[in-house]
Amino acid sequence: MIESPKIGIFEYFSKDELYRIHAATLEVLEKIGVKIEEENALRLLDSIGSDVEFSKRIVKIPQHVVEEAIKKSSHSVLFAGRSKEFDLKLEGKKINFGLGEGAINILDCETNSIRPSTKNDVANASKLADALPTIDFVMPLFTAQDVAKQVMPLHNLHAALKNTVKPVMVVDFGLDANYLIKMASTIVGEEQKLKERPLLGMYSEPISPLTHGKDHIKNLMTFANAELPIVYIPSAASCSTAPATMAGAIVQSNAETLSGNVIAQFTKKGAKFIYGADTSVMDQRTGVFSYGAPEWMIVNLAMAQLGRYYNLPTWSTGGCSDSKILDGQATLEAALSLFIAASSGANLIHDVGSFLNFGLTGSLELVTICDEIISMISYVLNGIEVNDETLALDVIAKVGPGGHFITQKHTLDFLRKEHWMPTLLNRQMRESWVKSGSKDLLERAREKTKNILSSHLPNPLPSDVKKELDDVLKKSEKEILNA
Amino acid sequence: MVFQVSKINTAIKESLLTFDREKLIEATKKGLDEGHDPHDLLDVVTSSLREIGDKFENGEFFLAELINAGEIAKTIISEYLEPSLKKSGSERKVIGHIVIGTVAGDIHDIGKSIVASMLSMAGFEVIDLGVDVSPDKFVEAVKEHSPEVIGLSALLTTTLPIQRETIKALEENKLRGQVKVIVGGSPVTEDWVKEIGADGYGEDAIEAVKIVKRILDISE
Ligand code: B12
Repeated sequence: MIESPKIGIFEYFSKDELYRIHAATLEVLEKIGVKIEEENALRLLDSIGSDVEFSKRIVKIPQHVVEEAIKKSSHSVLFAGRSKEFDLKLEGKKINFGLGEGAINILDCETNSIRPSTKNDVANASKLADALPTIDFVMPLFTAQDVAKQVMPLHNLHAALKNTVKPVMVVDFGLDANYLIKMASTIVGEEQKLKERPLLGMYSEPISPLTHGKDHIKNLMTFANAELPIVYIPSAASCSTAPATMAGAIVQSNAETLSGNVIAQFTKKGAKFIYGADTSVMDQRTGVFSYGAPEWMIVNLAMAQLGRYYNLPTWSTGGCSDSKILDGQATLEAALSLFIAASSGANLIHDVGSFLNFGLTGSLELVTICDEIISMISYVLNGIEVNDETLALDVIAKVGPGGHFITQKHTLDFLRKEHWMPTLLNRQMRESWVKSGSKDLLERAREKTKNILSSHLPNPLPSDVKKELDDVLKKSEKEILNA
Repeated sequence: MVFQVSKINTAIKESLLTFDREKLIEATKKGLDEGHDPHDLLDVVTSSLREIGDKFENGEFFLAELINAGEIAKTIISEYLEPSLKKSGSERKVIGHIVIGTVAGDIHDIGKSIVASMLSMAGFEVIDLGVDVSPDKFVEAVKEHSPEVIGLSALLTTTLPIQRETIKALEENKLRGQVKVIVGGSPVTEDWVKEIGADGYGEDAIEAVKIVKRILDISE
């Protein structure tokens, strides 16, 4: 968590550019409109003065409706942990980091082979994230492939809730969101209490270009009414589901997320809507949706700045890679994207360390490496104190030209609080490094990850809550599989 | 195949390699007006597409350029060359018919559409059912179009089982014997293909074309 970054927050666009993007977005919404596949949402938008063509499900949303929705929004959103010390306040330039959800395979770093991920992998990812100090919220990272596929999202949530006290966010896979809410309610006792302790958030996407899917909108409305945090952001690809120009892709993405906010806010005033875009580019050699592309970094900078302009809590992405294995490419793409995302000042940065192979392969070791990267970034963005003591004129005078500062009291006073210490990066002299086994970053990350998984015990759920949670899962599973 | 290198042929090839729809239409119309054999013009279109395909594979052309060339060619073929062939009592030879779609509950469109484009560029007649296609709709399409192959795309863990259900629906309708099933999408693995009894899968569009040709015993 970076509470109040002192420096380094990029403002990517000039005021004039920002305004032009905003104006173009309003024009898209008012003149072209969006398609909404959900009847209730169509009727809702009709009732508030949008121009709805029911037969085509096209809704043209006038400027004043978009702006009113922004006004109705929650400008500060509580995303709660199981206990208060893990609460996150999403507002201003507070920056928080968390995992993603969706990998299908897990990478075995020792053999560089992959295998289908399991529910146990989700549990381990949650446990690791629970332990790592820079990770502020948890997503299940993997998708459990060893459970009935239709109910996989419930098992993912089940494993996450059990293995972390940090706020939990899950992906809306189209299952009725009430199932998710019921499971999270067991943690706080009853559904009503989730409103005070919103420890579950949901992540969902419109279908670019400019379409809002039926199930996802239904679930968005459910979450809005439940007063739980809802991330609703497009994942468009420039050149395929969005224009080839980045400005155009940003305008379209902005129109998609803002029209989602209109539905959310008019469903429930003050809905805890989180704004942003996971928009990247379609690679022109392979067709893949790139997770390491600098285009996505531009989108992150753009959306954070636009989000601040609208005073909405913002969503962002960092710490992923297109590489198939955990190699130099992976750490390079992860580090750069994390630095850019953090420098954007976004409130929730997700997918941290979660994805190799553009979203398909997960690696726990990459999460551990990203923890170190974030720790470094936080150190830089937190800035330094500049005052009489830190300007250090006295001690500079004392030592004067020549000599050194090692034995100065000033050094002893400051060295611990002023500096960053690596936990994973290696600064040994070459020979001692050789003596201690010549371990590279990957090997050290593997050891650290193993250690955490074998030693860290997430604060367990009380046994009655655990039982209740298991029961709800079983019941829901039965209901869905029998339907 | 040897064909006469005429001005028209050069114009057709050039307009395809520069993705110039207007120029291609103009050249094709002119060619037909001047009495060129539509079969010859079609040959120019397909050989140009093959050249663009090679240029894509060696990195010279981009994916969107390849797909654009394919789409422009498709327009020319269906709006000009095929009608002209029909008039002369002949037909375009397609090397096979394929029904493709993304399974029910899944709206991931791009991968499936790229596969459809590449198959069509390779000379197949492709019927694209779009996204969110139920097993019943696949069954209907097989009855209606009698394709040699159907392709099922799924990108979500939660929608992957629909590939299996679609194969079951084909069996129940006694259609499984007459159609090969290929599957694809990021969660699909060799094991899954075996488990559900599909006939093949392709990791990407280029593989998809190869697989279909292999299944149908079509030489490259
Ligand atoms: C773009 C994208 C979207 C877009 C799709 C836009 C569109 N119009 O298509 C949007 C934003 C709408 C979307 C929505 C969702 N998505 Co999505 N999406 C992706 C993403 C990033 C890229 C997909 C893509 O277009 N790739 C590029 C194309 C060219 O590749 P491809 O699809 O794999 O296709 C190639 C091959 O697979 C193969 N192929 C494909 N089909 C076929 C068929 C045959 C017969 C053959 C032979 C070959 C073949 O050839 C293709 C060409 O090379 C993937 C991540 C990924 N790496 O796959 C996630 C991903 C698939 N999505 C995911 C999720 C979770 C979702 C949502 C649930 C998110 C949400 N909460 O809203 C929804 C579900 C919507 C629904 N009901 O289907 C997860 C799935 C996780 C899982 N284990 O199931 C993924 C893996 C991302 C992640 N890591 O979390 N998504």
